[in-house]
Amino acid sequence: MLTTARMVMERARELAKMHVPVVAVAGAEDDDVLLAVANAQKAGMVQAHLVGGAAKIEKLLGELSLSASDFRITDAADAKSAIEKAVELCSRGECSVLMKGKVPTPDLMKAVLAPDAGLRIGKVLSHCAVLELPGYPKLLSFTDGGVLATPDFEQKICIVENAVRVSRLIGVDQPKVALLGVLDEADPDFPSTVEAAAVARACVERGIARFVEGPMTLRTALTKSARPSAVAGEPDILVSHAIEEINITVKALNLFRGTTFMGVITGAKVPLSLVSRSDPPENKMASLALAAVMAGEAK
Amino acid sequence: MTFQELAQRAEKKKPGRVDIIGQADATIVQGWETRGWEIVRHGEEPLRAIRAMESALPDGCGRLCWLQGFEIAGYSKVLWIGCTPSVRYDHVADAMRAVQTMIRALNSFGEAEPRVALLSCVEAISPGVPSTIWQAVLGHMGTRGQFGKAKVDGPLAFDLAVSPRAAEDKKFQSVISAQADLIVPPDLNTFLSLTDALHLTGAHAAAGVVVGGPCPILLSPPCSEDHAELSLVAASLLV
Repeated sequence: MLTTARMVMERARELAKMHVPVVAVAGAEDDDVLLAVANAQKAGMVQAHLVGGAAKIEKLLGELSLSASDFRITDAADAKSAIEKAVELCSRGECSVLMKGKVPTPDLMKAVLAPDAGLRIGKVLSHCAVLELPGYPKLLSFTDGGVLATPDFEQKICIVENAVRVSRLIGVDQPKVALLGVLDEADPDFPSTVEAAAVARACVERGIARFVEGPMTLRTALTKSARPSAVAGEPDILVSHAIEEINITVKALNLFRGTTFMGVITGAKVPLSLVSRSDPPENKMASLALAAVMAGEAK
Repeated sequence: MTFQELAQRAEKKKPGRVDIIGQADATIVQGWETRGWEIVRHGEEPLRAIRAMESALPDGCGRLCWLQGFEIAGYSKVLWIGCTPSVRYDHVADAMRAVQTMIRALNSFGEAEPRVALLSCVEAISPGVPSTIWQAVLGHMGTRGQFGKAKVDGPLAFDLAVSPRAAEDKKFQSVISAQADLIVPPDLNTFLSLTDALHLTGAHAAAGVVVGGPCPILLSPPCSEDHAELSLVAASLLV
């Protein structure tokens, strides 16, 4: 079981010894992105395929004392074209990881979701933020803070399923899932608690995971509960009611607690490494490592 | 504004009388009316207590707002996080009143012109993310000065509300300059998860108080003595 970001990066290196995943970087003309992907390549985790304005990319590589000859580069006139070419590299099977560079996230998502792009595999796409929280003994996934704004009942089940798959790929055989709510019990006065209870039950009945409980507050999820619970105190996955809850909580933890953050979008043919522009290079590299592990383990 | 400055301000005021109660029912209202309670300290599960107290309040009393303040390493002032549990913010009139109540509370804490960030997951107004719509309306009202002496902006992602570096990276400009005094999460779920995460994962000094009723209410804090004391300081300023 991988319990730290460092272990995820080591695992990515191990897997790359057998088969190096090639990463298509959509919009590579950004120094932070280039630094992250170059470090990951130097560490032997991935091979980078940079897509974007070739002249700008080569200039930036030079400024970072990196050699353009170490990278595959595909020229693209603008962000739209960079996205199209990077997505095509993945759908053709030339690349097994997609990384967001300096392109707008909604445009990238639109391209990945397009029916004729060849990246849909009939699943709902969702974002999984895997955090190494100081003081917590294992990696903790927060989902979905990036893709589905107001997921319905079935979509929530898919979000759980996607996160469970990510957990299993990092070695957690029986991930424990908490559906977050404002109370620890279903109360009709608070409709989100009722839905959380129903989603938790459906997930167990459909065999998505053995330990899925909810609703529970984040406080209950992260502290030992007085009630008998297989999840409280030791969850692997926290699932929110709506996108803002996880997005805001994760950003607060990143900014104020210095967590290491790995962000991936899962549910497509290839994992998509997605972090914010303001994330430090180490988070970008860790996210890439997680996506590489997912691609490697899925082989 | 820091908690130390708040405490100094509170010392200059006549201390409020604190009554401790354990029941969230009509006796609260009677107490306010007949016994002149100034600050109420409550001992029940916060959310249910707020609901019960609201139902005991006379009509027209408005809704209760829950404010939690945090002093966080690396942030230069107390960051207040506010929520009105029983209000649907997509009713703009209700959302506006809730934010006004929170701003008034910050004014009494000594913040003459608080910077208020209405939080969502993105800063773009996105029809797919409903919270960004009412936040954009309130943000626009802010630019027209409809919240009085307060700088109000939204929708904002969390980092753009509190991190000048993130704002600079994203080349994002706002009247609150990534230095919010008060942030308003888009719903109760987010408020609770955010405040719980800050309580549980950091050694932050924190205060919590409920405003909008006839007198401030301290809710039994689920953590430290420190929290209780700072909550009392905040409540004293509201009396």
